[in-house]
Amino acid sequence: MAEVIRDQPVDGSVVFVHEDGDVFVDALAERIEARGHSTRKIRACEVASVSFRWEERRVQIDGEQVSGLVFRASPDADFGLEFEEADVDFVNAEVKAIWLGLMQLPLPVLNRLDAEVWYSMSEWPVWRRRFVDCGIPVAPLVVGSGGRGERTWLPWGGGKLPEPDAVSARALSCATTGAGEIEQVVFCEGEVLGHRSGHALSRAARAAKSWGITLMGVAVNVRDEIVMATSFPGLDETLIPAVSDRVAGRFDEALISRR
Amino acid sequence: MKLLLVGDDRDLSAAYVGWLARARGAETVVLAEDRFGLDWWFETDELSRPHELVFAEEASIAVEEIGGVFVRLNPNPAVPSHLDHLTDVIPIFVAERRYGLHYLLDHIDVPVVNRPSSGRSNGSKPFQMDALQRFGFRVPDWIVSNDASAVASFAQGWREGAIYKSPSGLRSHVKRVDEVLLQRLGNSTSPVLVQRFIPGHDVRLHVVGSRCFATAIRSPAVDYRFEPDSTVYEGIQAPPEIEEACRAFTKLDGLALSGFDFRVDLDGNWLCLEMNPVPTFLPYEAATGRRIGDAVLDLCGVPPLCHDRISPLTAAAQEAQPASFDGAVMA
Repeated sequence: MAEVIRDQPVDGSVVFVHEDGDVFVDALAERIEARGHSTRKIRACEVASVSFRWEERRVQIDGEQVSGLVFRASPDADFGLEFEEADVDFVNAEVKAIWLGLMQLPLPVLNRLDAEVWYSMSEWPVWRRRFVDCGIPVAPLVVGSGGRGERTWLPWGGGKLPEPDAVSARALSCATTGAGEIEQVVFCEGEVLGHRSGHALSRAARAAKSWGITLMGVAVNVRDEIVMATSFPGLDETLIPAVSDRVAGRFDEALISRR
Repeated sequence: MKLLLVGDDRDLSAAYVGWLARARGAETVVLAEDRFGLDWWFETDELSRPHELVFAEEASIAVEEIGGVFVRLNPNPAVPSHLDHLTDVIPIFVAERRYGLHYLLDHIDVPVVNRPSSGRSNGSKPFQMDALQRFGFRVPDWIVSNDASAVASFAQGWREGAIYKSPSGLRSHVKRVDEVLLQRLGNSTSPVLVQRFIPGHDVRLHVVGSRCFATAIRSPAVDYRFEPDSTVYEGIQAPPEIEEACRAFTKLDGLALSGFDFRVDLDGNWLCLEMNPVPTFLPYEAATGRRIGDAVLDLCGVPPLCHDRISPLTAAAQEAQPASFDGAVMA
């Protein structure tokens, strides 16, 4: 959890922007409420329609003060369900710009993303480069060539696929990595949750926290090298209680400290 | 050394930089985005860094032969015609191809003007103004709202009124807060950024590496970009502390070229409006004779020739009186 301003009242609600069916959002909101704080959930497709007022460092949504922020929708989601189709792209860009700004306010925020990640069409290469800059091992990539069928294709938009043929690899500038098992782990509050917790992964988790990232999903190969990372991870059901408790606890601490 | 011109081969700034480079005797190579993966591509080394450009006609260029890269990407890049019928997958194709290009430009070990990962704060004015303010720039007071009463109240709080614009990086026509806006807000719309109007004049300050080129712009219009006929440009020297701050912010953001927009108030205070990571410099160079394009080439390792006294763009504009850059998109 990043720094919290002390001169601002805690009145108001922790605002969630979410996609439909995000079980983690429900679990986290429930736990934050159980600690005595209000929450407000807004479906991503309705974000552009709320009454919004941001003046200095105070933000009101539908007349209610925002005390914290959990943004769990894709930055490239459609935010303007009620707007005419011709206006949707414009509205999306406006909403995206505003909520990036909101994330920088001194409020408790789940993942305080910066402009590069927010505006990147593909966030994993951004995290990969940052991990490299910190000396954290990452899986080597080959970009733009392929065709032997021995490697794993990592589409820039996320996920993994079998290596494409040479012509497709070139046309799509495919990034591929060595074949082998890839395991998913979760970084939460600077700690590694999941089955593995080597020294390099622990360093990576602490680095993510230092970047303002409370929750990150990470794909790791058998050599503990980071293959991909996302700040919008889907969470395994077994992890949701532990992650929600931990994040709710941090929100609680931050909100109470401001009273 | 070769200069690579990457992205939109019809971009005016890229065309000008290429022409200047060839006038210096340098070789330019146009790498159009719509031919990426078909006519040209790149290969990576064991450290995942781009090390060679490869061309379909069996030529190649090693990174060591490249002096620098000038980039202008089109927001709506072209798609090869043989894919036109694949409507559903074209957005995915374009996005994957674009990110592959980003990977090349972000990782190639030569000067790049500019790397796509840099300067992204310009997509969000609230984000960028916060960053500029924390860096020490003065920014005009502002709010973001779609609440008509909040906007009216803010605007009425300033004797000179307020202007409004898009909170995002989309190009918008800056206008004064008026009844039309308030009515529109009353009918529900997405939030706008409302800013105190600063009486005075505009300044565009380009940073190219460590060099600064400031242009004062005097116009009766609220947004001079839309009133070219009544706008007067003048090359000026910015205060040293402003130049230093612009250089430092540009460097911190990983940029080689940037364009800062200021309002200078009637007391001479410089208030920063925004920093653009893909600035056009053609109208400012043409109007002032400052050789901004040549400074870009210097950064890209293109050896200089003996400079003429004024920019060739200025000379051409003077020859073709009256000067007109209406067609140039100013950002």
